[in-house]
Amino acid sequence: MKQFYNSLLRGCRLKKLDRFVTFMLVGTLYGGLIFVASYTPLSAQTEISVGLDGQLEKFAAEVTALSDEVDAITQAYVDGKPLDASFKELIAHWEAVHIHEAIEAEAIYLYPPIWQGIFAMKKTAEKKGATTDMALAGERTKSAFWQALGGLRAIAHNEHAAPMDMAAAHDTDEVDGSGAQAIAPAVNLIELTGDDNMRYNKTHFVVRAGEPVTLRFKNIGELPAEVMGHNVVVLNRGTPVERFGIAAAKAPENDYIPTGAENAASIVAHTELLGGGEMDEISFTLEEPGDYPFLCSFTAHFRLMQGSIRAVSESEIDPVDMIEEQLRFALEAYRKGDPAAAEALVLKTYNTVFEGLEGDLIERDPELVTQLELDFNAGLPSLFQEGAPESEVQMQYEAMCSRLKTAKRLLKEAESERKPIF
Amino acid sequence: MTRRKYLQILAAAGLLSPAAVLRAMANPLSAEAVDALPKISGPLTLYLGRGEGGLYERILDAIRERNPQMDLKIRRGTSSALANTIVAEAGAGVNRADVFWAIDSGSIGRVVNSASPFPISSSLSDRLKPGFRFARWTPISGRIRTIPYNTERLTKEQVPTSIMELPESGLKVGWAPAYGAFQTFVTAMRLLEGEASTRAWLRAMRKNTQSYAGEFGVVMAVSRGEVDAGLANHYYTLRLKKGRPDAPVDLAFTQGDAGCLLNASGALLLSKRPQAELFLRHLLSREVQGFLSREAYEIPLVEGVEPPVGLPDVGGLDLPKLDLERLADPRPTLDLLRETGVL
Repeated sequence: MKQFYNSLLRGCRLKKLDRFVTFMLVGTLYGGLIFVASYTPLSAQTEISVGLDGQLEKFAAEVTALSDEVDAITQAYVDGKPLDASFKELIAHWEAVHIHEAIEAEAIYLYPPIWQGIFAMKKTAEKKGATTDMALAGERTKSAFWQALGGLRAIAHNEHAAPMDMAAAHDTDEVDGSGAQAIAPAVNLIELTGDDNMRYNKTHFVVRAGEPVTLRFKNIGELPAEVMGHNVVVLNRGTPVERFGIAAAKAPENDYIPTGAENAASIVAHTELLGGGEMDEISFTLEEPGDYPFLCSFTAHFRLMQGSIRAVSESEIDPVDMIEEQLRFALEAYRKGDPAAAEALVLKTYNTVFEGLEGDLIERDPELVTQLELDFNAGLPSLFQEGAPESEVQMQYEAMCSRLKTAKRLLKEAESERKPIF
Repeated sequence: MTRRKYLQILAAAGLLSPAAVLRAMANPLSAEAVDALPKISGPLTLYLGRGEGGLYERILDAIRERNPQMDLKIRRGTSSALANTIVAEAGAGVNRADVFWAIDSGSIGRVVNSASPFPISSSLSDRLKPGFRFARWTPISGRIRTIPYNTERLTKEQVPTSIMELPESGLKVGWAPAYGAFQTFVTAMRLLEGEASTRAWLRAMRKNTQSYAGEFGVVMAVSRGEVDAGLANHYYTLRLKKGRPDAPVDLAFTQGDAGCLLNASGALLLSKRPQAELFLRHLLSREVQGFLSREAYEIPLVEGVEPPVGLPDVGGLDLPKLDLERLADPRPTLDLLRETGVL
């Protein structure tokens, strides 16, 4: 990478650059490259970027000043001077400068590293770490400032740069289930984390409509809520995430939960705003099938932290798939050393799901139903009770899945023969 | 028991007003065709107790499709949990649901007794068969307790017509004590015969019974000849007979006791919105009732719709005198089943 930058610099005929200029250019180019590579111009630019070009000089001056401040802190640390006031000033300055707002609006992807750098410095000081560690943290902070400036420069110079669909650009998270064909879990449980890089660990979930959902959220970062707080706000279907996110940014006094009738009506539920290491759990019901967006409402975080929960109706869920999934949950519980929970889950599956399927199956293959009833009520539960080896439990599970596959085929046949009601 | 006597008993129990008795004794109106119903429009919130696999969902999809102006919101859960929710909401002065559709009358009873649903209009209840017209809820479809028996071992006449005589019949009987429907049947026996008689019956039965996990298992055991007879809801036998017409199993019915308890799914109105009652009219339409009978083997309780193939018309059966709403609390039954070692 260094060679790459060097070649770029040579190409620009920039020789004998002092350390500061090199830093600035590398940061600018690196930041710009990230943006150009990451953002596909799909829609019109937001209003926020209007006039960005005219502010770059001011931003550069701000970044220079901030970098000087970082240098002063690292030097003061080497000199053994107290730093508390210096950190407070640095943070206050960073929050006050114009580039801060512009980064939040336009370059949010490069926003977390700045905070991470500042807090790495602060932590080093608190732990009385080595001066080299402080120097490294300082360099990291300055690098983040300059990269952010580079990002803004790239946008300003590209009239057609897109508003950042950051979540889409960076959403490589694993999806629960398998996209549109995902199976709604038997238990409406969403477990989600957010981190200091402003990312949720998962962005798509499937739940059953009309039934209570439990959402557990943990901020697994280290930064405090004041600077890197995260929450999960679940919105009603069709709510524009951007509109809500912008409104939320104006409500810091209410932990970034916007008030007013329209905003209140948009919210299904939300967690508390959490700092690093904190957790919250909420319950809500998505009454109707459809896609419900969710986001972190802390200023501008929605650009990176957003996703959706698909609520599916009973008729969209393949009950046999659901049975298989519940059985997998049961096996997992058994492997984790909780045979009672495993047994309870199997019996619940029998009562709440399989029973509803029996009718059509009885007409087509009563012996299959008899065998599956034995599986549910004797086969697996007995193995759980006996503390059978996992391999044996796995074999029983696979045998059940094989029979369930047959059941699925027979149910499809029954469905194809059903006459319309009206 | 004759229909007239049954109605008189209901009236004496306060379940039917004298006017209702007179009306009930009149011939019911035939079920409405869905084409005759006005279209539903506007918002409607349904609390739906889950049951019958996806068949209820299929009905809802069909109603939605026919009524595109209807904005239907559905909250799903077990019937008992939704009943508790409605009662809690009513206690808090909140009314979120327009209609509650439950799979068992016990849950309906809980709401009727605690949340004051709106009256069912006579224009709707008059479509129901006599004996199934209630002031503040309407049955949607029924299921009946039966005694499936092995036709290679017994004749129908050898099956007792009194459930209380079953222990002395000498028959080996299959049952599924962990099953909800069985427990509701024992609740009905407790209410009809008393705790002591039910306790004695359970103890006597234990000597010659074979337990199964589910009631389909009971019916299969009967057809295989593992047991002579069983205790089960009607539809398992009918479905088996549809798939295996030569299966050696048939249905017998006791008379006027818990052995032929007819339990019902039901619905009630929690708002005065016209679309709420119109929704119930759709559920009681000829087409929906026919679908429930044909596909779910549920017993239609409106006039003019055929019962499931293989089941006699309930009008010809001697059903027990019992307020179905009293079946709501299973706890004393569970205690009794444990005490007698059945569970």
